[in-house]
This record gives sequence, C-alpha cells and structure tokens, in this order.
Amino acid sequence: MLLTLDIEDGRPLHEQAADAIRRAIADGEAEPGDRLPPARDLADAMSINANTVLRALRELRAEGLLEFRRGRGVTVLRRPDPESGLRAQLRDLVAEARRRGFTTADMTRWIEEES
Amino acid sequence: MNHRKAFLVLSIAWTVVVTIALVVPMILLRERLPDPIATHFSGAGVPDGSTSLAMFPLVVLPGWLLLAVFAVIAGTVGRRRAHRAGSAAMLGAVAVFFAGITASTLWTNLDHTAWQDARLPVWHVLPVLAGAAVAGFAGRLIGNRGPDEPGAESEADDAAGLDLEPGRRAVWISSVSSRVLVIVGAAGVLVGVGTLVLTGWQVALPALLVGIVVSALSTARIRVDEQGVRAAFGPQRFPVRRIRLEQISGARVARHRALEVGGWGYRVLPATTAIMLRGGECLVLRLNSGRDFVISVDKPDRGADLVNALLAERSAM
Repeated sequence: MLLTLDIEDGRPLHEQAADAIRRAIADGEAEPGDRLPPARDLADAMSINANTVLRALRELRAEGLLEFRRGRGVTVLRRPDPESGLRAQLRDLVAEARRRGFTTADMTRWIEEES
Repeated sequence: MNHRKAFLVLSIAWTVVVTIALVVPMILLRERLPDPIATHFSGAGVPDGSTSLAMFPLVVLPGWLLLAVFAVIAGTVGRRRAHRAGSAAMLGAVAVFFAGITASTLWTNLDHTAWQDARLPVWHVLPVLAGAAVAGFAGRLIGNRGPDEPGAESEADDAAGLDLEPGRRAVWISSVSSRVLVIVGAAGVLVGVGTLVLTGWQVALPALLVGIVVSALSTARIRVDEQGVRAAFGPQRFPVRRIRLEQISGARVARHRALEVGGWGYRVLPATTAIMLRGGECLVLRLNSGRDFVISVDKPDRGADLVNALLAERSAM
C-alpha cells in the first residue's frame, strides 16, 4: 500500500494520517475487503505515533470506510464517495493557497469566476 | 572464447586441481597418520568421533564436489556477469574451506598412534574461515568480468509507473507471510507446551525453540521509502535487512517459485539473494553490484514503481 504525505502540512497529525489513508483507498492502493497494515507499521511508515494512527483509523471507521474486526485487524469496507475525494483535494488546494499567501476569499472569487 | 566458456574451462580446471590437492596429502601422509583418524571434536578440541583412513576422502570429497559442480553449472548456465562473479566467489571460498578443514584434521592427527590422542587447537577455526573469506573475495574479483549477455532477461521498461508529487513524501508498505511456516511454528509451540506439561523442560525445549524461531521468522514486513528498502521479520520486527537506495539500480516484479531461489527463508545464491517466504509474486531489486535481491511480498507492483520513481528522482541530483 502506497501512502503519500504532505511534508509541509500544518494540520493535526491524525487528520494528515486519515487523509493519507483515505487517499490511498480512493486511489485503489487498498481495495474493499483488503486488510490494512497494522497501525504500528502505518505509524512507522508515516513517522508518527501508533496512537495517532489509531485515532485516524477510528475517524475513517466513523466515515464508514473501515471496519475493525476482532483478531483480524482493520479491513477496508468501501471507497470514499466522490464528494469526500473532492473535498480532500479541496483541502489540499486550500492549504496550498494559504501557503502562498492567498485567502479563502480569493479562492471563493476564483471558483465563481470559473463557474 | 567468450566469458561463459572461459568460466566453464577455468572452473572445471579449478575443481580438478582442488580435488587432487585434497586427496594427495591424505595419500602421502598415510604412514604418519593413525587409522582411524580423529574427525570430530568437542568444543574443547578433544576428539569424540573417528573415521577410518580409507573412508576419510569419502567424507570430504562429496561435499566439495557437490558444491563445486553446483557453482560450475550456475556460473555457466547463468548468462549474467553476476552469475560468474558469485559462482567464482563460491568456488574460491568453498575450496579453501574444505582444504582448510582437511589440512587441520591431518595436522591434528599427524604422528599420533591413536586417534584419541589428537588435540585440535581451537584457533584453527579462525584461519580457515578467514582464508575462505579472502578466497571468496578473490574469486569474485576474478569472476566479475565480461558483459551480461543480451536476452539474459526481459528488458525492464523505463517508463515510470509513478510520478512523485512535489512536497509529498511517499512510503510503500506491504507484508508477506508463509502459511507453511506459520503452521509449523504453531505446531512446534503446541508440541513444546504439551510436552512441557506432560514431561520435563529438557524434552520440551527443542520443540519450543523450533516453534518460537519458526514463528518469529514466518512473516516479514517490507517498506520502501526515500532511504531504500527494509524488510523486518516477524511480529517482533527483528531482524531487519536494509538495502539502501544507493545500492539499487532498478526494481521490477517477477513470479518466482521457492525452488528457483534456493528454497524458503533467507537464501544466498551466486547471483541472487532472496527473502522467500512463499512462492508467487516477488519484488526484485537489481543491485549496482549486478546481483538480484528477491523479496516475496504481496502486491509488489506499487513497491517496484516507488523504488523506480525514487531512483529517477535521485538521477536528477
């Protein structure tokens, strides 16, 4: 499973971890029915604490993407719906724009110009 | 004469010379040796096993010849330079090892009338191992020449299957587990615990040890990141085998059966090293040394993509 993480992301780590895993599922790195790697390995790979990963996994379970099974680890239930995929992209875009000094108001104006 | 033919001729000549060198001292020195001679020693160097003088060559030669023939075939049939280098290293190291233990045994027995009087100086072990290592290194230097032959493998397409996005760090993780080893390990632990309850710990210990060691090595977790490839064994994530990105020249996916890489487990062959826990899809890393590093792992495609993408980034530096 390929995970990509934003290096300059300033958001809380559990949100970043949830995003990375959500994105991996959306990209088909883990298919519905697949078992996710143990939280310990995910944490190792992302260089964060295992409890932070666990928090991210719980968030994804709450979204209905994951299922925790006793003794069988965490499995992927379904892919994120298109909206949450788009919103993840939007979150990235907003973060990127902020980094470059644009405000949300600028972005709203751009969206209106585009549509 | 191409390099494969040269390898074949030289390696056969070497095998014959070493075989003669192993046998001749046994014949020349037979007047000064006890019969039988001491051939097995306890840790303190006191003999606890003997072999008749006539049988001694039959103890030494089959092992040498089996390994030598294997190396000759592997170096000739394999069409890459790494096959010749690895096989030549093996021929050198194995020859010195067998010559060393033969010399040590003959020396230890020399001028004793009964094999029980022989004493093996423990330091003999060191020069034999050191000599074998040096000979292996020399063999590698001698054998490591000539080009890979065309068609030795399907050419890997250089089109990157993955482009790294700027500002993002990519990590790939996967795992592999061997059903056979998991079952054997669990059975070992069960038998061990069972005998521990029913009899004493002395009886239970071997089964327990086998069970625990096999269980510990029955799974592996593989990770690819900007540092390279890392394989950690078992739930304890230890031992760890690392291959730095600088050592790797490319990655691909191939299907291998365990027999093709020498069996299950951690396998070193003349041109390949393998972490083989199950047959099937493997991540194959081509190292700069020309060797292949084969890791059996689930869904290796993206791992190979990431290695190649990281290598492509590196080539920009």
